[in-house]
Amino acid sequence: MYSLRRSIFQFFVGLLALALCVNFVLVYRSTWSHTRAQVERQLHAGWQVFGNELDARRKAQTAMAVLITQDFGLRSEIATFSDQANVESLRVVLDNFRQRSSADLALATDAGGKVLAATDRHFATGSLFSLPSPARSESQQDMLLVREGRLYHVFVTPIYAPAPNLVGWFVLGFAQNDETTRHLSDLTGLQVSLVQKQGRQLQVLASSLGDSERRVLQGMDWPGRPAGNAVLSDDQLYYAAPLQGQDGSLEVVLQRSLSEAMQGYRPLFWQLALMAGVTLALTVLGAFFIAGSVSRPLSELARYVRQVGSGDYATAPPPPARGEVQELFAEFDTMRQAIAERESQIAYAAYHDPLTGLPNRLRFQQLLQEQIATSPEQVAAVLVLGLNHFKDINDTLGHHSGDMVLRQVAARLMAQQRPLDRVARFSGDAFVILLNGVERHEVLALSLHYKQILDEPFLIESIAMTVNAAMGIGLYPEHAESPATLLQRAEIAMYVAKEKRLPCALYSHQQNRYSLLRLSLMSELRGAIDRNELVLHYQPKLDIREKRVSGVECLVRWQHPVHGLIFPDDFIPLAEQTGNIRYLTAWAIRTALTQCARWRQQGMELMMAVNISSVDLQDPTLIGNVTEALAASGIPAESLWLEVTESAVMHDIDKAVELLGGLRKLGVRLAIDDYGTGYSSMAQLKRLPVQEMKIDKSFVMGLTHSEDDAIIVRSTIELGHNMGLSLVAEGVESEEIFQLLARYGCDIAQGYWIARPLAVDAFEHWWRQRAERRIPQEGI
Amino acid sequence: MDGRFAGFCLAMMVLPVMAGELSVTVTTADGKPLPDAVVWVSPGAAPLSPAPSVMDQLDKRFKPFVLPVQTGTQVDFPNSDSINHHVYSFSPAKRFELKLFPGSHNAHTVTFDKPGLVTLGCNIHDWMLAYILVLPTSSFGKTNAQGELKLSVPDGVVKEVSIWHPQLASAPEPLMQKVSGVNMQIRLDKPLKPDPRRRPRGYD
Repeated sequence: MYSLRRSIFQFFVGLLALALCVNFVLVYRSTWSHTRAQVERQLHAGWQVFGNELDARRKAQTAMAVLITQDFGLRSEIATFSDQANVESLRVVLDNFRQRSSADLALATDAGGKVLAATDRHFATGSLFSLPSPARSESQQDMLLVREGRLYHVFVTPIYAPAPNLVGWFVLGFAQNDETTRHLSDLTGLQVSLVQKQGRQLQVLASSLGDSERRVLQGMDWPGRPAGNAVLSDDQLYYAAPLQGQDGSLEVVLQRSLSEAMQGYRPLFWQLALMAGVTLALTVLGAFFIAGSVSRPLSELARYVRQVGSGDYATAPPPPARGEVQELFAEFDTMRQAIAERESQIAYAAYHDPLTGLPNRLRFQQLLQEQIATSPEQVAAVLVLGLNHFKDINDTLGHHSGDMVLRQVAARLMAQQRPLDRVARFSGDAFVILLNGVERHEVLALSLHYKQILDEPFLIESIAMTVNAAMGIGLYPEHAESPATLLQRAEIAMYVAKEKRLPCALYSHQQNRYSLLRLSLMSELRGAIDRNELVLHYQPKLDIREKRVSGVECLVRWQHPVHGLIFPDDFIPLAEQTGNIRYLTAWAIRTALTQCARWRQQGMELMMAVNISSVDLQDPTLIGNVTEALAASGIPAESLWLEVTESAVMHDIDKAVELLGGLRKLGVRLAIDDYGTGYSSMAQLKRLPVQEMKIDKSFVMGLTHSEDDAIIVRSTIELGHNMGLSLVAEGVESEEIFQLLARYGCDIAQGYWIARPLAVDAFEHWWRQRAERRIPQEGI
Repeated sequence: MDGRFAGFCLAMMVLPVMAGELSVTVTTADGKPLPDAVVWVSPGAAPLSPAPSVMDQLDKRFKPFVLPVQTGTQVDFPNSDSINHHVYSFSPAKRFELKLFPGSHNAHTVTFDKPGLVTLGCNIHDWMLAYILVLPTSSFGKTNAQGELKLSVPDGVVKEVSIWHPQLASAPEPLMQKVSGVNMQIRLDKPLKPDPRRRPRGYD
């Protein structure tokens, strides 16, 4: 905005300054050339005055000289001049006439021009003048003469006794000195110098100039005679004219300083300068005001727009300006309002969940931040409420139903929230609640209050549905002081609760140990399958009676590019929580069967056992996946064992029975894994279409030193056999255990004493070694 | 004849002349008769005791303009005007000055005792000019208005004839002459200088 003002300002002032400068230059130039012409005229006039002066003197002195020459005494002296004795007498006579005519020199010669006597001793001898010829002897002459560096205007007059009897010449001389030139200078207003040319230099004989100027004139490289023109040199305008006498080397030089001549214009220049100054000042003021009146509203507008730009939409527009700018203001204000409106919409969208209308996670974080900032001393609790198996609702009933569940959950939470608490949607199937102003001991009760809200079934499209949830609790300031961390930790607690199937879990720092890794693994697992980061290891299952490897159990490993080899315990529970376990299981079945088929081609007849999760038991697609995998590999269904943990089965026994029944129909064999940890009853087990029971390794490993474990193992074997099941002992870590199991009648042994889970190459190597020895006891 | 005298241009020639009277006619280069020319021969007749001559002042002029005299002649300077005159000569042949008052007849005489040309002037009237030619012989004459003169020549001598006139050029010049018995014709072959006489100024 300053640049506009400056532009206007600079334009006006610059233009005027330029005009004034040009004006001044023009005036000065014309004044100067006028002055020069004037001085030149003055020089010409001066030359005429000089000529007139000479003429006047000539007239006066001619008459005087003629008169003198007719003086009888003079004639007598000259006519009778005979010897040296008369010189003094004649000199006195001459001096008398010199004084009478105010001359500086008087002398007389004989008829031949030889000097008889002179008033000045410089002229006393010799023949000085080129005399007029006899034919012109009657005329009297005047000339300029230099003698000893002094200039004289001399009048040479013949003396007759009587005419035409020439007896001699009378000479009257007038010195042309500085005084004479000063007189001329006063008369003409010019500097007058009488000079004698000596080559290109000038010898100043007389001058009205001061010493320094005289030296300048003397030092000048005098060009040829300027033909009636003035010559300018260093501010001085010169005019030179020849004088008669002395073979034309004498000149009169008239000069004048131009700057001195310009002095007369000085008041004019002052007036011009004053006028220019006043005009410029007025213009500066005018330009300043005009520029200001244009630019001020604009800079106000700019300031206003900047304010709007920095996000201050609430500011009222500045006082309306005039003219076009006012319209601009109005437009800007309309724009401001539109922006403000849109921004509030955007802000709402940014801070709210469109589905439920609840604040979103970001907004919640802000609220939490505000809460902490306003009362940092107060305890606050963050509850993360994660719906269990929400994915299943989406998958089975469709996203629309899922959205309805979420909306209803949100509606209930909002309806029943305590006045000071804040509810927000945390993520896809999680909500978060901020409990304000609570004591630590109240937190659990309040958490349960919120959890109870979900106990009532939800009515979704005429279907009553129970939604289960896990709740994680994080406390400020106990667990974290920053909102983000607190939220993260509450979330971790929620996952812990899910994992442990608890209604709610309070965060503890132990939970956090792997939580960050887990969280990241959770999101990476799907990708890991695609990127072939997962591999299967195979652990042999040994037929105790036949001393033969009857099959292998495949166990998944995650070769993580950053974290290295990750064991299943660290990511299977996560995969179960996120539902990714389905993909993992499908992949494991496919891969294991493919490998099995490859081994069979190499003559390795092996049964393949694959673990399935409790989540898989809920998965209606599992049966289809298994069928496809069997078909693809060409492995008969009887060679595939699917192992499911006791606890997974017990989680939803009805569903498990149903699904396992479906699998069994395919011909696939089924095994109960980790038997002894799930507190299942025999009645329940009986319902399951399983062919094998795997005793949990915790019992097997304690076999040699715990009587209890031995009893449990032995009775389990007996029980299983009674139910027609094949018994597998896991955790066989020594020969001693192996022998015991053999004695108890266990069918199959599995454990480190036989072989740890091995990658494909390692397993094949182990297989070949074992085939060479044929002695299972020496397998290690 | 001294140097100064010669300066006034004498034409000289030597010729046998019969004793007796010689008639001379002087004409200018263009054939006009020249008055006031003085002609003399030398050696001439011995000087006689000279008769006095007169140089009058009349009408603010000298009268006559040219006066030839024999050496030793006493010339009287009367003043026939009613005004004062101050006659002077700075000529080497005779230097003098005379203040002449009206009616001073016979009061002022000057004896010209040396041959030569004497130029007369008046200190009061600058234009007044006259010449007195002092000659060492009596054999001379002055031409009249017709340019004629007669002079007596001594017998049986080789003669030198001289001529002088104020308007003659200064350089010697051969004269065209024609002698026929006792008559002699002199014709100048150079033009004359201007007449040095000036008109009187002031009151007439």
